[in-house]
This record gives sequence, C-alpha cells and structure tokens, in this order.
Amino acid sequence: MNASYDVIVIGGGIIGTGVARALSRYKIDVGVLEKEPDVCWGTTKANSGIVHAGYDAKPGTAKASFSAPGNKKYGGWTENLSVPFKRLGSFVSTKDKSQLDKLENLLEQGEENGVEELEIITDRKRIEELEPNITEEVEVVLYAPTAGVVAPYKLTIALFENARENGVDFHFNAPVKGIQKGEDEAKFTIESGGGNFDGKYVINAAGIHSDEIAGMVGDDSFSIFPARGEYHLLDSEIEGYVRRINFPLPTQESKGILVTPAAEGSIIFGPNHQPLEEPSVATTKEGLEKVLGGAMKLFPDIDTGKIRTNFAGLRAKAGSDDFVIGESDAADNFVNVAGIQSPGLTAAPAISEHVVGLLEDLGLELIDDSDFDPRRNPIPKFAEMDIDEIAQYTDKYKAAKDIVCRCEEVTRAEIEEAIDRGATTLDGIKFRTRSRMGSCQGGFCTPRLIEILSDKLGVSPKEITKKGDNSYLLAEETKKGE
Amino acid sequence: MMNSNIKSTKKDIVVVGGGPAGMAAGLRGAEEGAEVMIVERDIELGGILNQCIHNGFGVEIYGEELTGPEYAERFTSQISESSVDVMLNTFVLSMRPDKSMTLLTPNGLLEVEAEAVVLATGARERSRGEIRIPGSRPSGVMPAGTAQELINKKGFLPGKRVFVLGSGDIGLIISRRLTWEGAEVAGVAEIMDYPTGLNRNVVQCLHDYDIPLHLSHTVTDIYGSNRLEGVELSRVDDNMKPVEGTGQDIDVDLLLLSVGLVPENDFFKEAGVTLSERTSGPIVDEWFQTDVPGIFGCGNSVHIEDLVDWVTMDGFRAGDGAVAYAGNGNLQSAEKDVVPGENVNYVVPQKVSGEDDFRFALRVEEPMENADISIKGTDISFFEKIVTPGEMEVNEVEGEDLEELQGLDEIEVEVTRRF
Repeated sequence: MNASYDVIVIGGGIIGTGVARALSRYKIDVGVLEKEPDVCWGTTKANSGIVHAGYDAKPGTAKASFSAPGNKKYGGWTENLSVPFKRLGSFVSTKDKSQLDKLENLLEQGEENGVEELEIITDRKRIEELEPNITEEVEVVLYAPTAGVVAPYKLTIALFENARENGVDFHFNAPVKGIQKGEDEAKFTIESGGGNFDGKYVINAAGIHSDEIAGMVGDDSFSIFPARGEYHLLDSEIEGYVRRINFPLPTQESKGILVTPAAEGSIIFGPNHQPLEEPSVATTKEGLEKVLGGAMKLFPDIDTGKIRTNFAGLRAKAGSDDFVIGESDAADNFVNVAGIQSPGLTAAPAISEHVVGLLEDLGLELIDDSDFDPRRNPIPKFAEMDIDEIAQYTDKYKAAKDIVCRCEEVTRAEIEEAIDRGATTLDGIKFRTRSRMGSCQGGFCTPRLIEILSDKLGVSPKEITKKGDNSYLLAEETKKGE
Repeated sequence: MMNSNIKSTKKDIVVVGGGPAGMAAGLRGAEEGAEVMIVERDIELGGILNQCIHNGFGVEIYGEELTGPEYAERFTSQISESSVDVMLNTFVLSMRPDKSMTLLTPNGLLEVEAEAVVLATGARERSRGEIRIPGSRPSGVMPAGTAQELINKKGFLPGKRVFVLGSGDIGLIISRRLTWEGAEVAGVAEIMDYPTGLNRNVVQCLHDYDIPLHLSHTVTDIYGSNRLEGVELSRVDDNMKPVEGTGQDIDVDLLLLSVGLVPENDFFKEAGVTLSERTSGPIVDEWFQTDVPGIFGCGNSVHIEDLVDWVTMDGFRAGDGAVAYAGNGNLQSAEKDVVPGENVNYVVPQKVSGEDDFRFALRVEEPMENADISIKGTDISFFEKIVTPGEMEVNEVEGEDLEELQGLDEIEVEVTRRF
C-alpha cells in the first residue's frame, strides 16, 4: 500500500513507538514503518528492562541529560499505559571499602545529573535488610531508590496500541529499502517492502540499522557498532530471592553483569558485553558462563537450577558512545534518534518529548487533538485476578474458562485478544500474554497456540510462525495412515 | 474468600489428573464405594496415553501389548460405567492443605471439599533453557513429547530432517515415528555413555532403522535465525563437559529434546507437601500418602516411571490409601525412612510402616551387571543380571520378609555386585 504522512517514523522499538505516541496527541498524520511483523523485536526486546536512576552517564552527555528526566516521567507514562513498573531501587555493590571513593564519585555524578535520593550505605545490617541474600562480602553500597524495572516489550506494545488508538498508522513487514528526497518540496519518498510512503519529516529510530537508514539520505556522520549482551532468565518460582537491581562496580564498557528481578516476576542475570562485526543474537557457551559467574559473585547461593532460558540482545552503540539525537546535517527534516543503547529505555520518555520539540522547531505545526486519550487498557490478566474477578470474567467470556498456558495461567480469551490487538506469531502472543514464558517453555501449549492463531487469522497451521519470515513450525501434514 | 455465587460440593476423594495414574486411583476409589471426582483439564481422559499410538503398553498388567489409546480405553470404559464424577476441561485454580480446592469448570467456578486428594498430575519435559544449550533461538527446537502430540494428535510433521538430543524413551519412539512419516532422523545424541531409555526401544526404534546413536555426545550450538538450520554435535569427556575441537555440524531443520521429565509438583507445593530433592516429587509412604495427611500422589507426579503398568499399579495403591484415609481419617503411620544406599539414586516410597506388604521402585546411579538389590542388614535381596539408570527396578517386600524390618529404624536400599 502507499500513503502520505506528515511524519514517518522508521522503527517500532521503544523510541519509534514512544515518538509516535508522543506525536499522536497532535493533529498530524503519523506513520510507523517496521520491518518485522510486530513491534519491539529489535534491541528493545532483549535487554535488562532497567529504568536507571541516572548516575552512570558523564554530565554533559546526551545520555546524562535524558536519563534522570526520563526516569522521572516513568511513573506517569506507565500508569497511563497500564504497564507494570516497579521502583525497586538499585545497588552498586563492592566488597572492598577502599572502593568507597568510586561510589562517592558515582553519587556526585548522579547528583549533578539530577538524580535524587542517592545514598551510600556502609551499614551491613541495613544492606541485609534491603537485600537479604546478597553475598555477605558486600560492605559498601550505592543505593538509588528511584531506579526501577519495566517489561520493555509490554511497554512498547502499550505505546504501539495507544498510538494506534490515537490515529497513528503502523505498517509491519515494511523494511525500508530506499529514501528519495524531493528536490523542490520538503518531502521524502520511502520505498519499503510494504509499499511507498511520502512524508514531510522522517524520524530514524531504526536501532542497530539506523546508520544504514541515515546512509540512505547521504548521512554518514555516525556508525552503529552492535555489542551483544547475553542473559539468563530464571523461573518466576524464585521471585523474591533478589529484591533490587544489583550492579557490580561499573567498568569502562558497561555497567557490569547485573542481577535483578524482572518486572514480570522472574530474575534476570546479565548482560556481558561483546562487540560484534556481524549482528547476532545467538548466545554462546563462554558468554553464558561469564554471565553466570558474574551473577554468582553477587548472589553465590542462588539456585541456578531454576534457570529456565537464556537469550541475547544487541546494544545499538554509536561510535561516539553517546546518543545521536538531532536533525541530520545531510538532509533537512530528517531526524536521527540513534545510538540508543543503555540507558535508552530509561531515556525514552524524555527523548520522545524532545523529538516532538525538535520537529516543532523544524516547522511542524502542532495543534492539540482534543480526541487524544493517553490511557490504554491492558488485556485483562486472569493470573492476577482474585476469585470474584475470575467469577465475573469467566461469566462474561466463555473463552476465559479455557486455560491454554497452564504454567502462567493464560486463558484462551487473553490469547484471542492478543491476536485481535495485533499479534500474528507465537512470539507476539508470548510478549503480550506470557504464554510460553513459564516452566515448560511452551512444551504443553504450543500445539494449541498454533491452532488458535490459525483459526483466528484464517490461515493454515502451516502458515503460523514463531517470529515471522521463515520461522514456520509445521513442515507438512502427516500421512494420516495412508 | 468464599463468594456466595460460587457453587460448592463435597467428595470423598478428588483425583487431580485423568491420565493412567489418576484413572487407576479414581477407579479403585469408586470400586471401594467412595464418592470420587476426577478433574482433568483436557477434553478427554487418558493423558499422554492418547498421543502414544505405538504399542508396548500393558505387558506387565495384562500380558499383552496395547497401544496407548487402547490401554486408556480399558480404563475410560470402566470409568464411564462407574460412579466416578469426571470433570473434563476443568482446571484446579488453587489447592489447599485442608484438601479443599477451587476449580474452574466449563460451568464456572466450583469449590470442592475432599476427604482425600490424589494428585496425579504427571510430568513435564525439560526445556532447552534448563540444559542451557547456547546458540540462536529459531523455530524448530522443541521437546520430543510436543512433537509427538503435533504428529499423532494434530496430524502435522514439525520438521523433515531431524536430530534428537537425549536417548530417553520419548526421543527413541519419536525417532521411529518420524522415520515412518518420511522424515529423516540424522541421529540421536546421549550425553551419558549408555542409553537412558529402555533397551527394547533402542533396538526397535533406532537399530532397526539404522539411526545412529552417539553416546557421550551432546548438542553444543544451535544455528539459524528464523528456522533451525543445523546443530553442532560435540563429544563430552568423563565429566560430561564438551571436548574442544570435537564439534561437527549437522544440517537439520528440527531438534527434538528428550532430556528428561520433571514431576509437575505445583499442587504439592501449594498444599504444603514436602518434596524430595532427588525426585522433585513428594515424599510418600507405601500408600503414596504425602506428609500432609490425606494428600496422595501417584504416577509421574511422584517420580518418573518407565512403564505405564507401574503407574497404574501405583494409582491403584494410592486409590486404596485414599479410600482408607477417607473412610476413617487414618492410615498406618509410616515411621521408617527408606533411604538410598550404595549405587542407588533414589527409592520410592521414602517411608514405610513395616506392617504392610509394599512395592519399592528405585533407579541406580551407574549401570551394573550381576547386581543384588538388597536391604542392608537383612537377607532381603533381589538379583538382576543388569541394572542401568534408564530402567526402573521394582520389587516387593512381603509376608515374612516384613519381619526382618522390625528391628530397623531406617531401611537402606543398596545395589551391589554379586560377582
């Protein structure tokens, strides 16, 4: 299909959906182009899910200027979008009192960045009260109560749904192949796998591909150097063993291997830091061992038998090691929002608003849309209902009496609603409902999920995929006794 | 807690799970005159038997080889003629130590109070993440039992060129099934230096079809970003660690995992039952009663069994126990611990009274020839030509032998070489 927009956003990650949703409060036409069949399948999908307090970045960097302000917006953002966000607080721990000065430097840096409530704890009893199972060797902690955890996929899906509700068009399976800049008028024509789209302004939020996209308008001012991070994810059964976001002392490359509760209840270890020539989200034996080793330094007694899965994500690291945010020097009205590595998730709400301001400065007229509704209703979650709510919900929906994912107690009603809201794949259903995220990792429910998807989408079960493209699940029909 | 709109009922015995263990327990309960309810979340009774269309079931009990559905039918037909109240498409939402529970049925919520509860919830397959295979995350990697369901119940082949990790029975049987369907099974890898499935399955499912079995090997990498494109197979050393430089790539579009089962123990935990670290199932006595009085387990929810025949026999026994408990609120107290000794990984039951005949099942830690399975400090001994961890050993202590246990506080079971 072809369409024309005031603003075209390239990329459906946290930045693309965040900007699109921020623009959706105005009377402008916005289209988002995403190469995958769903939002959130790039860098946003696989990271630690941390909303950082904001003390890490050097003052004066873009990272620093968006982190603490982004953190402050998270409460309101996630409340409107009905996405679980928990301000658990973070620890930077060290076993060695001689490292105290490093923590003091971080604290000062944080205060300069506008982080509130930072505190250094040297009282072992207090450390144990806040984090009972941390190694007894930890003597000094930088405590940042404002840090929190969020499920980045849930958040991105919510931003997508709310933006769509407020009029933004999303085009999936639409990889950008080329961008033509009109000579006379301020207009771009974007050629994509999903059709041609005209736009007056373009936002480049293409994650690890943002340098390629910038290259299409002759902008070679930055390059992305993907760096892989690997993770272990534990069974939600041990929820509560770790209570806060735990970092070791940061190094030059990264904030180190952290141990944290995930927003949806399980515990995450990771990431390591591996610069890659070729982007890959495959995990490695060495990487996973390193991550496990790092985690065990902070929590030596944690039950590693509860590891349920591992995964890897890519940091979209720019050469400057900072965010690249602003109009391109190579093309007017083309705005790069690139190099969004950690703390990009934290910064996202602040970046989104900043980009709206940038567009206004570039001449985009922003007229409030009185129909804008910032609130988004989540899919009702059976597993979190009390008995009265279950009674009402199951009375109302027959499909709610049918629990498809037994480990996470996800009903057919939830799965069908996830499909109604845009899930077309097993992964799309997983990120919306948690089915296949539990103890059995999909062993029991996958055959039924294929059936439900195939029924709802009206296609053969053979067409159903795990994550689009060639990720089919069923090769062919059996001989059926022939 | 209790909502006035929610219906409630009482039963002598509620059996959770309508597979072979639950059907046997429920049927026995009804035969003995108890009011029994079987709760099953699927659309039919039978559990995993329904997807096991191969034969070999029933040799121990019926002396004939039945398919899974045929074996199940022997029970479902009896149940349909019995007084058992079968609740299909029904889920247990919460299980409480006082043996009350909340069910979600097709007709809405139902509160049930039971005198005795039998948890026959079966097992789940271990997943890729639990054995921590690194690599990419394409489609085409799944537990062998899931593939079995897709093929036998849904009518679809999940892949055309297949590698199987793990020589457990499901993996062996599915290899043969895939071959029959025209898929090519490139090989089966087993990290141990012996197959973990039954020997008869190694012969009938692999050897007869020239499917290579790679002992002391494992999968060390997974390739393909969307659909599986291949795996790396590596040799392992004596500590089961992959040996550098032994990796070979095998092009396949399906990797099946047959790397063990884990008892589904969630309801035991909810009910406050103590679990065994060795089996991950509950600690039970000779009647399969757990340490929460009136709560029983049987079948794979207690420990992973080889043969459905043993599952059925345990189900009958648990049914008897539940009837006795529901009748007078008491069973003989089992004070003697049964503990694993030399070359024994685990023994079930973990407690006995020493008053009644009992059957005990064990798995050894290492294969052994000409083995004596014996109770330390007694003359009770059973000879086996060969024991391996893949084959469960079941023996019975009965009659006069029980007297030998009188003086023992603890019953240590050991497996030693006779000669």
